Amino acid sequence: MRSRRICRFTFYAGIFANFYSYFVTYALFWVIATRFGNIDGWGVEDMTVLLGFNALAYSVSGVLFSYAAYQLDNEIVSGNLDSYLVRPMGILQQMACRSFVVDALIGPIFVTVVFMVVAFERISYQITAFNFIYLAAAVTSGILIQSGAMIILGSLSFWSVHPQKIASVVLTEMRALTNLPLSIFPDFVRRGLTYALPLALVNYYPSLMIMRKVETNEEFVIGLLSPLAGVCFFIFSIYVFSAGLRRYSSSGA
Amino acid sequence: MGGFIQAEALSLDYVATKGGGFFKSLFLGGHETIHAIKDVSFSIEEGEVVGLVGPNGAGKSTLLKVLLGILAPTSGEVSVMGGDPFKQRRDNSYKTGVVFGHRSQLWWDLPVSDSFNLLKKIYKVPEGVYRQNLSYAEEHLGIYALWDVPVRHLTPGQRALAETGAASVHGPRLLILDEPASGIDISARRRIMEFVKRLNRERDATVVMATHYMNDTDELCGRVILIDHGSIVADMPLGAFRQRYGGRRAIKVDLNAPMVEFSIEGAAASPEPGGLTWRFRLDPGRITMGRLIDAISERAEIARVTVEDERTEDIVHEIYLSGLGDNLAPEYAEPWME
Ligand SMILES: Nc1ncnc2c1ncn2[C@@H]1O[C@H](COP(=O)(O)OP(=O)(O)O)[C@@H](O)[C@H]1O
Ligand SMILES: [Mg+2]
Repeated sequence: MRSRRICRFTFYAGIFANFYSYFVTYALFWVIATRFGNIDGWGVEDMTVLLGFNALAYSVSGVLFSYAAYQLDNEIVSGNLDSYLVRPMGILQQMACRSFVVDALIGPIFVTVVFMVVAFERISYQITAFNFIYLAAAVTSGILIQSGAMIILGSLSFWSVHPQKIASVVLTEMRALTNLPLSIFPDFVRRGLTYALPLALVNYYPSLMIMRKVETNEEFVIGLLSPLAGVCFFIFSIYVFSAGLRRYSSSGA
Repeated sequence: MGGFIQAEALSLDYVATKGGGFFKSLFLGGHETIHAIKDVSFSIEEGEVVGLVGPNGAGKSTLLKVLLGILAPTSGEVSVMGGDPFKQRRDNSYKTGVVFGHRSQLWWDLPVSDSFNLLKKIYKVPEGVYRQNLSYAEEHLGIYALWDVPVRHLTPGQRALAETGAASVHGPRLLILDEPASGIDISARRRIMEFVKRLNRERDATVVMATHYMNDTDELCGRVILIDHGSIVADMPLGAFRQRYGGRRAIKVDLNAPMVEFSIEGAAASPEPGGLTWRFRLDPGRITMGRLIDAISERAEIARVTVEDERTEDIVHEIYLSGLGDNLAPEYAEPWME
């Protein structure tokens, strides 16, 4: 966007701030993790990969869909949604354009990739064709799951629910849980984050597969299928959004 | 259905939730139905400029939203540019320019130029066509003067100019304007009306403009559709409309002491609460302005006289009294005076 390019200074400042905060997060995490050895059998490298999947998914989906999650409600109340509806472009796509700022992505992606590469290096992870495809699919799927969650949360606005609070609980607090290995939590949390709100499919199950930590059949099946789950969940979220939009069109509210 | 725009027995109900939010409405079913458009039929030919006139809450915006495919009608048929506007919303939007006077179509925190560039991309306007449309808008609206200003820093008048220009960059065949000139200065308003008129004459755009000021239609519209309480009250060429209902003047009179009653031949009097301010609408065939003011001052001491614009409410009232509206809805009985 041109205005972004004009403001060179804020642009670089934005990148740096983002870069810096992600770097500090990871660095702090490495220090702590190295100190404490491991959490429930998860070493520094394992945890880095776990954190990395999450960071990639969240930064990309956030740039694209956090506007939908947090602002759709206001757009409906203010009547702005009508302005979106008279333009020849999808509503979600228009909202994505609104919030799309490249510099919000550069920092997190760069830092995450560096740390993940270091982690893979240290455990001598083999980049075979299958592993490469699995990795790419898992990252994509994570982005789609996280995006789907944002779209569904935003869509609640169509049913006159104000989703901001729920969204911040799901997208901040619940997501923070998935930065830790799911195995340390009680069973109901594990089930909830796997089957109800599948945030664990973003990072936990792919990490199990990649770091060879799979123990049960259930974990193996979910780990194998989680790259596909993203597509399904995303399609489901679009369906929810469309249903909401239909409701809007027939009631005006 | 033929015709550029056609509506047959069109109705739209809003289902509003009565407070209490989602769960309450889900379980207690606290819904209220508002019949915003009631059994409306009309047809608009390509190249017309139609003013949709009516008091606030008449259903003008709702009707425009149906034409834009934003809202699906509750019952009845509607077709815009050869198809169901709700089903072919996206196809139609390439050929439609929209101005919502009450809210911005532009990107609030971006400069005007960025908004135009984005619209060019969204509407997939070829570079040459875009340049041409842009200089046309510049010629009549002077948008280059606003080019680098963030939209949020524009005055209401400047914003309206930018909005109108933005609605024209893709060369729309249909212009839908919802109170495009409400609350802006006269010079900006005049430029906008002139520009829209030119888009119609020189670029063959069909125009439907909603307004609650009768005066807005004077400069622009060849035809007036008067709407009130969701029904069409009158639909005729502007000339005929003026001839029938125009020329009625209203004056507002502030008095030095309150009055309870006025009865003057040829003028309808209505007080504001308190009785210090009265509104008189005169029938030019029966009394002149001068005679009316004389008659008032015979009965009370006048502090101030203001000549008022013709209010759509008054015209609606007039039509009701004279019984000329062929489309008068049967339930249309009392509510023109608030
Ligand atoms: N989203 C909505 N939900 C419920 N009622 C609405 C909504 N929008 C408008 N209305 C009601 O429908 C009627 C027509 O409104 P509107 O079309 O905005 O009138 P106008 O544009 O002529 O002022 C009014 O009674 C208004 O209160
Ligand atoms: Mg309106």
